[in-house]
Amino acid sequence: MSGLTRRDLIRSAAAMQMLGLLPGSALRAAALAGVPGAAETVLVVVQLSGGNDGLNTVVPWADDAYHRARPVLSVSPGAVLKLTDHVGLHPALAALQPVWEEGDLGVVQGVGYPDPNRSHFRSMEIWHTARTDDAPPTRGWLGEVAGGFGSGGALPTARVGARDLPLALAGAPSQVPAIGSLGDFVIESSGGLSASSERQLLSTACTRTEGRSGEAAFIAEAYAAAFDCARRLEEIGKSGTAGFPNGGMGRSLDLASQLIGARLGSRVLYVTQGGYDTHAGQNRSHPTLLRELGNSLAAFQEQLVRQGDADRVVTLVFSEFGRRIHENASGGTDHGAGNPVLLLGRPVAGGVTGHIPALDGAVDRDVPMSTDFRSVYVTLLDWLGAPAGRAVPGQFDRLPLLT
Amino acid sequence: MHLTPVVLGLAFLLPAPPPAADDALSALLPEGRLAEVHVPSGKAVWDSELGRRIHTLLEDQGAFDELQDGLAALRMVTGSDPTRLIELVLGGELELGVYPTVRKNSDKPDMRNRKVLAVARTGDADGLALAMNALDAVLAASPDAKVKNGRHRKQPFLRFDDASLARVDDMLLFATDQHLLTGALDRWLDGASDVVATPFEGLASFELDTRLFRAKDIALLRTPTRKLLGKRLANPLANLLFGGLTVGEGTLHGTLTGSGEEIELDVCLPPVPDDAPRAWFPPEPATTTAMPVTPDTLAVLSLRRDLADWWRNRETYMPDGAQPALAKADQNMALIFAGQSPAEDVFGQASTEMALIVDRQRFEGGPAVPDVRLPAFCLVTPLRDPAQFTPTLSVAFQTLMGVINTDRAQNSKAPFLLDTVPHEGIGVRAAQLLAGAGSGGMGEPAAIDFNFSPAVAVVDGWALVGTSAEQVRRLVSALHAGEMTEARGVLSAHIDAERVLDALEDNRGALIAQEMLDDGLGPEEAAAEVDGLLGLVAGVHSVAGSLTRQDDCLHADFDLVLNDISP
Amino acid sequence: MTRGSFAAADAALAAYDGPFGEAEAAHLLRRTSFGGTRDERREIVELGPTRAAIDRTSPPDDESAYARVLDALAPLASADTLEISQSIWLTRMLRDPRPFRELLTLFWHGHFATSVTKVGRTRLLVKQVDMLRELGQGPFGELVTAISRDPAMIVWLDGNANRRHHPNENYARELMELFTLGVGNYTEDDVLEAARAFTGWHEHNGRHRFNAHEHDEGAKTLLGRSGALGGEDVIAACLEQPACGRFVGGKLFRFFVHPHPDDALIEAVGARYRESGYDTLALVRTLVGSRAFYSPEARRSIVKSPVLLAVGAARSLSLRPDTTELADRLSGLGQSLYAPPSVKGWDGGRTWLNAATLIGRANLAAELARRAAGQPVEELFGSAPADHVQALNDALLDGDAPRPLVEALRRDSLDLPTCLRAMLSVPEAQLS
Repeated sequence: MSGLTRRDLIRSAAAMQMLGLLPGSALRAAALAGVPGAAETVLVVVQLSGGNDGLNTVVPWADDAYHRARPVLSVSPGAVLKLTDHVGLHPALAALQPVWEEGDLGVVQGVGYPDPNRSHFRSMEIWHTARTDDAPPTRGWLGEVAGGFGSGGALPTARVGARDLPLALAGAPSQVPAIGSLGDFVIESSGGLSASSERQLLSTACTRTEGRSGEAAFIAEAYAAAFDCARRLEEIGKSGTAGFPNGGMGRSLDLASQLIGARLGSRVLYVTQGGYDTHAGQNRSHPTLLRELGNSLAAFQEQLVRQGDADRVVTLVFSEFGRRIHENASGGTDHGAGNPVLLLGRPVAGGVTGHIPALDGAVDRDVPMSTDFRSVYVTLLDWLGAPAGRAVPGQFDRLPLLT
Repeated sequence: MHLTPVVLGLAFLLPAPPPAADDALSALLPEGRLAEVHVPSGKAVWDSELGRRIHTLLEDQGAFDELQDGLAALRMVTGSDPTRLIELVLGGELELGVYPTVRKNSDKPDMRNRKVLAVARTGDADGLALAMNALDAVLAASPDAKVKNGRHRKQPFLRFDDASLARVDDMLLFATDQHLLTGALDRWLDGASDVVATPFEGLASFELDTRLFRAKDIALLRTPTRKLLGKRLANPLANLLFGGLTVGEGTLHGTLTGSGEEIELDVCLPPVPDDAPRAWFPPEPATTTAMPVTPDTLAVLSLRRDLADWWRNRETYMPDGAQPALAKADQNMALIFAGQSPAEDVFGQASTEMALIVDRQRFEGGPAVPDVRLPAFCLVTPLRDPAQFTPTLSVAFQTLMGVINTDRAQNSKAPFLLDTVPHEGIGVRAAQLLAGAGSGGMGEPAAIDFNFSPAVAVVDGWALVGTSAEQVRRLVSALHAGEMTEARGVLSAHIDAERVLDALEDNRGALIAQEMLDDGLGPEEAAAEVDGLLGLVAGVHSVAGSLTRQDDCLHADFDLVLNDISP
Repeated sequence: MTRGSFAAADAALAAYDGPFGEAEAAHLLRRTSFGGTRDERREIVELGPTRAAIDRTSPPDDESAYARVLDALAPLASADTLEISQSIWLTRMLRDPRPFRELLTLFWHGHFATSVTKVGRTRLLVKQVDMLRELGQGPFGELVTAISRDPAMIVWLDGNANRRHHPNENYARELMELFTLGVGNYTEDDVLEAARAFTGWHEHNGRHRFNAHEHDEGAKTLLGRSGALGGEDVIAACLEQPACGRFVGGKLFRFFVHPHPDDALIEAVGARYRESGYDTLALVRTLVGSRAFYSPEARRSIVKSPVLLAVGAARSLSLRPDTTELADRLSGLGQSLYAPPSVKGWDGGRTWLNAATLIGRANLAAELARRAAGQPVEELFGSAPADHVQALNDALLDGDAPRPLVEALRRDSLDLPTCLRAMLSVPEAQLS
């Protein structure tokens, strides 16, 4: 009954002619960073949305209080994948065992901030903006230093795997692209001309700024950036990479590995995995989520090695707050405070850092904080060669997380 | 040469005589073909009921007008009439061969660029010669066509664009690849017409090489099934219905016959080996199976499957991507059936004969008549141990409705109320929506939910699990009264098009509205489109198909019975 | 924002009396009717600015054909799915002879932004938007009262959790911050007291129910009022504030006229709006007939929302899009009807544009061009044009298509769909 749908795309084989608008972003970033090799470094931020249950992720298997507090949910010492004499990983993260053995997995325990706020939204805002004051949250910690492709000066950043921009990226000086999937950036054809001719026409029509002023000029510039982005993305992703698990996380990290491999100059990639708000029936969903996470991260590391990018990429895995020590009556856990943070990659100094005391004496039935999350942030920003002081106000110690 | 005498001459040509059964045209087709189609008389197809319907359809769509315009233009420009060539060629005996191309740098046949060779035996060599000359003239007059004239072993042929044409005797050869054409010419010149045609009364026969389809046969079927049934339908369903179709290897051949108002398609698929998966080919029962039907039944889909085996071995039978969802389904089923094993205790209870009965709903005695009227679906199967399973089924139903009601409450939707309704001595467990918000009074549209009144019953050892209590009650009556229909073979379907038409007409308003949304039409135009569709359905009496396991082949047959639509 | 002068502000709001040709008519059509055909433009030129402002914001003289369309769509209304509801609303926008009421409804939908993602039942959202359509032109106070009782809104802002002994301030805060006054024009105490006043304003089974048992009857003080205040009193108190006129009036100004009014202009608009008893229709008629409306700074000053872009193009060329496909694309461009991203609605302006959405807009243009290819050219333009490049230029860009583009299209004798696609993608086409 109806004609062509957008699923019947006509894709072009030829790349679009560029009008040579934008200088190499990698050069600019290197010029600004003082650290040799920093021009190439890439940070992949993986956000676990909803408040991951850290105690069941990095399990204090040797602490009796943990097992007593969670008769249903605790992971038995027999099942845990032991990392040290005190902690181990949930068995669903088995795929990360080889990463740990390589020394490429770092665990920082008890990460949080003073006076934990249990409002889900407020805690998210704090982690995203690196601010605990009352200022209205408009700029994210990455938004301060990030930009789009070829944004010269700012860190080229991309949101990968979904179309929304998390608060962490808000306020960026130039538009950070949200790359839901490569399909979003395919330029369709209206059927009359060949696809490459039509794209030439559109380029001519939409991106010139001469003769335009005000809003029209702004839009023309935005179009130029958009077509540039589309052209770069068209060159990658012609063949999917095998080995990534099916599912949102797998696809996002697959796309991230392709963006890194394509040398588009991206320095920060932001990925999210949702579903961690396990107030009830935690054992039905949490292990599945962790398995998807672990398998995807492991596949990502392997892909980076194959691509030759393993030495310059660090992955940060965090969640905006942890959950309470004691399980609740519905087989789940409620919002809590301190949480572990994972770091993966060759540049990472493997091992477990930070500590949580024996859970018996825990403050307010919550995992207490031993490391301020902003210390983690500034350490990573330094490594990227970005102005940490601008992104994270205040003085925070750098941590020995990287080699 | 003056063209007027040619035109007059062509006008006196006789229509094609009946096909000669002497030498098979298939002898002319070179080796290596994937598929072959044989039509004894194109004119017979055109004159058959099917042909007439297609003719009317095209006429209504205005296709002939466009064609006439084109032909008139050609006639004016060249002074000759191309229609005669078309009638001559398509009215005669036709043979079509489909070939793969081989990609240059690999040996795998490239399915996307299939090459085609067609042979048409017109029975009238002179007429064909004249018509070909006319075609020559047309092409010569046309400035755009790049025509090349070639010779192969002294046989002339024409080439324009991708097409190659040659005339030998009363036959016209057409190919989209020159090598195919020359291959056919070789065979004619060398007299490879030693295969004698078997007399055949039908409309067409065809043959396909199933080696194409061996790999990922489920994948092949996935796509059309998904298009037919919508993307929401899980692959496991297609797998259950159509899995195992191509376990055998070899060629598939079939015939299309038409007589009066019935058109039949018979296909012989490669036979099923003895070690075929039990899930799809369980042992045949001793007696013929029959399934209950009601006066409002519009379709019956019966299956012979070993569900327990299928579920138990789902990791082998179904693709990896579906496994997490299947694991979840298994968990949910275990939950609903109070911890029993789905494979052993639930699916194991069903016999290997089962059916899905689709009925049109009347909504008599229900709380409200919904605006969009969906059909009712009921799964029926004899049980192995009815005494033990009846309470299990009852409790499982209760649990399921409890889960559904909780979910509905969270979305501010009215809940279902469970009740046991006695009907002819059988307790039918039914869940009915309470009338309330959204029941259709006071200008509020009746929610589509009123199409559902889930129900279960066990009667005479049969389990009935359906979406409508009204239908389940009628099926209880049908089983008591012995109103059954035969279920043939491994898979069979029967669709009563007249009932389908009733169900569609129930929803004429909604169909018109949907057409307006999809095509931006106004109410009157959308109504015309919908009525056109209904008219098409009205022309059909029934559609039936079945898949039967025989010694030498897996036999599939389709039967389309048309209604008399002559004015 | 600059200060400006009051005299200038009053002058800006006075009725426009300058030159009034097809360019002005096209501008009026875009801002009041999504867009329009050449015939409609000519009618408007005949009427002149003041009468046209009234004509375009009034119901059509003959609604019978449109009524038939709505009747024909009724059977699907019960389907209760988001896709169908979005398609139906788009069809209204496309087929209403005077779509101003749909445009204003879209404005209010973005203002009282409620999303089906939390509310769950599409039916409740559809009813809310129906209510916005019915009351949107009238006194703003009635609209606010109705929305405070709207079941979808109550679910959205946790009204049922607002109880006598445990007030929940979600609705009271958004009422003041986003619906009536704006940040800085109330105190935290006002919010807390207002929350108490709205206790018991609950929803049950898709209907509003005032739960007297849960209502806090005690004395409250907010925004200068005291007493045993209830929800209606809070609304009245908010509307008394001059800030309300400025806030809501300012939003209407930025939606219909241009995005950068100076303080004095906002002050003037706010005063008029409040003094008229918050008569929305009267204010809009003043705005779209004013000098400010036809000033150079108002022309091509607003970035079109995805809906405006699509519906405007379709109306200008009498296109017949697949509304389901269209609704899906509009969601991809950031505007999913019945599902705004948050209670703040759609920020609009430049936030509509990023790399993915610009490509998406160019692809929307391609989809519309492909549909247009299937329609007879007389239908698109009213009569078969001699030069389709010029005809498209007139219809979509008021004849102002960039010269290099027009030359390129003519030079290569490009076909109508390609020309349409290009003209609908250019930066100028994204601006109203």
